[in-house]
Amino acid sequence: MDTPNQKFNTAVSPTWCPGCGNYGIWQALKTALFELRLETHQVFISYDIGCFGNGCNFTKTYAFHSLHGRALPPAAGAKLGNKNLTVLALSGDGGAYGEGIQHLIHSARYNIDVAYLVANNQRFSLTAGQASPTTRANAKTPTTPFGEIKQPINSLLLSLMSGTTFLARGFAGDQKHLAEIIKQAIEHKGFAHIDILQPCVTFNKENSYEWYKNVIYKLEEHKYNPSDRKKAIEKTQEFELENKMPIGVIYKEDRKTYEEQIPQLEEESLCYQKLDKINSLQK
Amino acid sequence: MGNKHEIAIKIGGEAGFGIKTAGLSLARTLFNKGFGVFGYSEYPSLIRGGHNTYQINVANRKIMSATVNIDILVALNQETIELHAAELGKNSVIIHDGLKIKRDVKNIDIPLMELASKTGNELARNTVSLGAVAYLIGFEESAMNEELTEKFGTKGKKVLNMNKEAVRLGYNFIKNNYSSLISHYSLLSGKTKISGDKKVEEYKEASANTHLMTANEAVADGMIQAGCKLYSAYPMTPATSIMHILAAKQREYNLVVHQAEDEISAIGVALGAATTGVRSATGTSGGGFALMTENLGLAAMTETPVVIINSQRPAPATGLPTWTEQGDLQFMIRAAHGEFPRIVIAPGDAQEAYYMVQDGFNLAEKFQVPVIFLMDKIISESDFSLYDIETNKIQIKRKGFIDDNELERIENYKRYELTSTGISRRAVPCQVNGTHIINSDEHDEYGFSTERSEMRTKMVDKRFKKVKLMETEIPEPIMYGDVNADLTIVGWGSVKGAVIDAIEEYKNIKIREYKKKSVNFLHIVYLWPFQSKRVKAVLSGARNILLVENNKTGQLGELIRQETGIEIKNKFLKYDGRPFFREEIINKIEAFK
Repeated sequence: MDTPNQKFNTAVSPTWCPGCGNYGIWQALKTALFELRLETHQVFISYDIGCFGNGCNFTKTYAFHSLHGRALPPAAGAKLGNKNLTVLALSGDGGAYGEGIQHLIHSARYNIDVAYLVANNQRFSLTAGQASPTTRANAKTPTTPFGEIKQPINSLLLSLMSGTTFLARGFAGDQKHLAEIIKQAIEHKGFAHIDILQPCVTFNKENSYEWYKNVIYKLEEHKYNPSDRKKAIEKTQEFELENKMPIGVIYKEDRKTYEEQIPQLEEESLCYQKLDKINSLQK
Repeated sequence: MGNKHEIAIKIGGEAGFGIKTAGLSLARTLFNKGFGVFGYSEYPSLIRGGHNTYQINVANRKIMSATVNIDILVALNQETIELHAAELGKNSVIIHDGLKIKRDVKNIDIPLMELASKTGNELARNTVSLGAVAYLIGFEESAMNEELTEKFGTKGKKVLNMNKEAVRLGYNFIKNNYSSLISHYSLLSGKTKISGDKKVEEYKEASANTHLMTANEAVADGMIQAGCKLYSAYPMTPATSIMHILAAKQREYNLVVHQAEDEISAIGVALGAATTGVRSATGTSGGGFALMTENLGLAAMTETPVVIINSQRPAPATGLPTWTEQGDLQFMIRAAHGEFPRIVIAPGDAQEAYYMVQDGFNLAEKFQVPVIFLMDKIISESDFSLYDIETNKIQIKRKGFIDDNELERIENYKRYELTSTGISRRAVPCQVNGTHIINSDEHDEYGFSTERSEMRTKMVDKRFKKVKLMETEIPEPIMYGDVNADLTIVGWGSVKGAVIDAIEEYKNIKIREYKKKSVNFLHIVYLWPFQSKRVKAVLSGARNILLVENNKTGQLGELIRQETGIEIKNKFLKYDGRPFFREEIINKIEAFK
């Protein structure tokens, strides 16, 4: 178990397209878990349904392959059930910002201690490339043959406004940088949301690795202070206003987590509580 | 006339008048005096305004249903008189404060408002009316004291004394002006508390194991008793009070109540917690259940135990939010896409709700399937008299886990191992050597996604294999009454109370012996997997069958035909949002040829 791959790979090989952004994210995730010295049995990952969600087969931890858009509720449930677990939820942009967007908003509000990694390739790729909530205006896809007429969602701003206490953006093409962010997200006490820019080499020819490299820059190279909420709001809108995409930690605050404020969980996780000597029906 | 075996008291008025509060106080008082009580409330889906009633049927035996006929109607507004005039008989009496009484009906005009003002609180007129009722039914003035102390004791002496004064004023007003009426409505005969009924020995003074409670209260306590540690839900009438009760008790009993952002999340959180080994549940009404259905299938596919409570109300869509119906039976049996085993349990009253929800947790865990606990408004929100409740009757049986030592010895743990029973053992997160995928995709024995044809077939068969064992473990339907009867009534869930009370009362109706029919009742509580053999055996031997259901299409009838080939032609169906009242069933039995 000397390397992230030895420790966290299963016997099943990835089924992603060659060049898919998921490889970079996957590698960064395993590196983060490895460098945090986490054991496979201490980690619980709830997966979306989609290309990224299929990663449950390749990554050795306790895994819950849930439903499309519904990765967060089981993650919250697992954390409430066993507070000792390191809990992550992994989703694509379709599930995270479309089908199950309410769970993002409310998990942020609860500040449950879950790290939410959203692989954002601006497409529904497992269903063959339809427009997603993050697809840029005018993009042509099988469901928008004359160009997308809807505005893309600003998921970072939405997340921040909803109460996310750790907000970051990563890039699948920079594994080392992304691994650092994932590590911080896992270590952060509370809801951590990372939007991960990810090319889809098969269904999104426009937003390629090269395209992203031209618009992204690293926040930590600009003496950025992620505890400044006003600045964070500005950073989440930079692409719309200035065509630039900051990557790195955009916002971070210390706030009590949901489960920390539940006295029933103070001593022992729910799953270890004894079930004998219960006496209901007390008047 | 002397004492009656049963009387019905209805308090009616506008929402906000304290109808339920007053009614429940009286019901508790009667129950604590050793009477059998059934409390039934009707109210619209509004917070202020609208017509509210609380009806108490009280008897010197156990009763579980409301009657149409009312003996004492406490009318706090004119509307109550208009709406309930038809429910009054020739000996009924209306207690009111200067309202117009059109019919030639006994009435007591009592200045409730004026008397309430004397206590310093005009709003206390509901309490004044309780004093009036207490006198009429033959109680002493102090009868309500215990309940008032229970209710207002924590609010200070002043409030308590004010309420006692309100009762006293109402009581004395009747005593001084209408004392002749008492003989008509008294539940008591001399000093004997309960008399004249062979079942008296069943009824005891209030003690630790008797309770007046709704099925929602009972199910909440049953969940606590079953070791449920996580309840995740979203408010929806008539299931909401389960969450209120558990939320209030969560610190005392160390469970977590999570109010989710919607029903989809509510069940998702329950499933997540269940995967860590926690006994978890969610609860809603039909509309919320509809939102949960995709996750119901997820529970089935991942073989995650969960208990889902659905307290039905008239549907589809928003329907009649605060009324009752049994419209979801077929939906529960078929809900979600695809084919998978599940267990559906429908208790008939609060006592069954308390015990059977505990059984539900054991079954969910043993078989690793979703268990649907099906109730409806009439049992969720009516007050039942419970006797001899044993908290340790249903033991917690933790099943289906693999222990740490064995897990460490195993080379490759298979979460979905193909076994002879279809049940495979669960490793839970944090157990070393147990990592696996709890997989929504079809999967192999380890949990890895697979699309191979032979494995798909094996896994579907694995999940369905459990049904065989389930069928042997699930309790049989319950037959009330003699096996050989002229008429067999068949029903499920909440019709139980009205049917059993009706059969009992029908026995005492004075008609010529040769005209008298013997009647029994087959109550199917564990509805799925369906107990085909037992139901077929009972029904094929029955002389006449009457199906009683609170829905339009006779869904249990359809199910019986599907599972046994027996078609029940005589159906008594009701779908006006109201439960079956006892007389309706009695009339049906009498008319049956």
